[in-house]
Amino acid sequence: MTGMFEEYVRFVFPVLGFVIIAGCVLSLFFKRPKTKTVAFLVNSKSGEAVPLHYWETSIGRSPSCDIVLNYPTVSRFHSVVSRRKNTWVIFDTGSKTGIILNGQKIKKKEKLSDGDKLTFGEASYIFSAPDFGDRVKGEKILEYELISTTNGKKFRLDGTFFTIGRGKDCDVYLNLPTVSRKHVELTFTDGKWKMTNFSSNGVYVNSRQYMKEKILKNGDILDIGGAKIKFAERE
Amino acid sequence: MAVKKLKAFRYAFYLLLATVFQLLSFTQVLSKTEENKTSLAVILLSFVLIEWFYVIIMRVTIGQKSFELEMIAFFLSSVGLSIIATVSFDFAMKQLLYILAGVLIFIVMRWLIANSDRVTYLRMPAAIFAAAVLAFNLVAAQDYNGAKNWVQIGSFSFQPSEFVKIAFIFVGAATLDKLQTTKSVFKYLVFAAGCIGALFLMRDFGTALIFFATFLIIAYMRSGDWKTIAVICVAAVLGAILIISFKSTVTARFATYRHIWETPYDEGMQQTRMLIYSASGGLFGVGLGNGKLRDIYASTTDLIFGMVCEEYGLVLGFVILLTFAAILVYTIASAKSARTTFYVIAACSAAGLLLVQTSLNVFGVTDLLPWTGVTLPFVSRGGSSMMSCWALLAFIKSVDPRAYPKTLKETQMTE
Repeated sequence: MTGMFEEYVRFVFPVLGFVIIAGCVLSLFFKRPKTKTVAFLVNSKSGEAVPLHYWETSIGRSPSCDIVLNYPTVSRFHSVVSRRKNTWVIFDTGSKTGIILNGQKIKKKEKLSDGDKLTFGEASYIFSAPDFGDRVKGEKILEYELISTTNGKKFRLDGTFFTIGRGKDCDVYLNLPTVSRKHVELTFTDGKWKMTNFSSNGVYVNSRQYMKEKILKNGDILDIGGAKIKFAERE
Repeated sequence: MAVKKLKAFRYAFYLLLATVFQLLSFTQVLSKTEENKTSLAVILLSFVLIEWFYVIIMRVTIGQKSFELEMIAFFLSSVGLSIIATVSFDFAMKQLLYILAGVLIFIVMRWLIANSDRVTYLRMPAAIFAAAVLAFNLVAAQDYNGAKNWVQIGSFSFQPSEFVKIAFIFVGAATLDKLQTTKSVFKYLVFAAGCIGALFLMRDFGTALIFFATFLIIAYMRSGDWKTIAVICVAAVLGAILIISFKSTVTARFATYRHIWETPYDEGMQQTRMLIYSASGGLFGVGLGNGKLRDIYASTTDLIFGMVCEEYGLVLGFVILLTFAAILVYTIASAKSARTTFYVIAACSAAGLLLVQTSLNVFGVTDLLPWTGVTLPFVSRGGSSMMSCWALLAFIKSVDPRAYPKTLKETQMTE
């Protein structure tokens, strides 16, 4: 009996070993975390929002920087914007002209808050990361969530950028044939949530059809391909 | 929805498969054992319990969902433990304790490096720790197989250089703001030269080579400058040639390289036997406890890859080899999503270190490279090696931002 077990089990080991290792390795590759927008730098002049995808973003004139500012007054490696545990920090990485934060030149590093004005040489930006940073004491922070009106499920809008659609890579996944793969994009800019439609059927907000954009307000009801979702201030 | 829920528990499926593998291995080990059968059964089952306990605790406490790296480490550790248990009961008992210590170190390391501010502050203490440990090693170590890399305190002996590996990566990795303000790798070069020089003095060439390869990875990732790396490599090769040429002890150590078949009953004894027996195991092995390599000196340490091939089969041997390469590729592929540059450098260099160590072990015993006597990560018998491997795994784990309990809430909505 032991002999038979030994004879057969030796064929099982390599197969099991291969399945375990291959399964774990494939799972490692396919379940890799996705990068998502964590904050924005909004150009003060043009209003163009530059998304920050990483916890650390280098800014400078060098093409190797994450954000390239092609101005002679900007150093090759001018600055680094870094997300820490509970806040954002900006570092001056030895720039010649320095960094002006809300009108004051920073020494080496400084904490960043949502809405701070940053100047690198002649380039000016507004820092936008509503879910992080030190805010003025007593200032009320409005946080929103999406609530399904059919089953009451809630989705916290804890970031600055979300997608809704039938595609499995969407942040809010709606498995309905009437919903496009990427139906809606929700973006937080200038302290407001903006809805952008990407579908051919549009989005109904409070029973009115929108084909392009709409700034959302507390209590708005979104109809996305039949799925009704309430946009509400978090309790 | 149900499929999505099931996918979330994919790790449980692999955990079950690994448990089946382990229980089958342990059954075979016990069938080959005559003495201390019950005690050995307790030891082997304790391993399975540690594995399950870890997964359950991490799932419940921090809501961890991906356990692939830990599953691989547990799987490799179980392969090593099974082989070691067929050789000696005492070895098996110690190995289980080493694995347990390794898992605990892994948990502590994960907590320690979770905060990027804390790791920045810890770099200097880590450098001092590394220097102190190596200095202590030089003074207190005993000569063991031609190398002075083992320290004995009472009945407890350990290899300090294994722990310096962790500090070496800690010191080398840096956040993006540091990299941009201090572009020169000179300070780290001095630190690395000190560590590698100390290892040369100990005649621990295998570990010195591992450190050098790790240094190259870190230096390239910090500077991105191929020219500097090329200059360092040329200088290192010239230095190594000079040392090998003028230091007789070093020359003697490399004398058998490519000449093992000329001295099959003397210096080439272990490697020639390793090559013969590992090939004789065929694709599926001769079965646990049936191999002949077990009677050769260092069969469960340096030669354990041969034992895996002989008793488990060449297929599993190659799978183990490819695993380390796959981990490095995964680390590089995941670098984009890591929280800070510190984690990217630490993870890539830790994965590179494990791959270099594996290559030195396997190619060393098969005489493709000079045999330097390094261990096979997670599989070989030995406490210092096992603990440092688990600590290095914590660096690799850190490349995935979902590994941290603090950020879990931020990401779980998007999964």
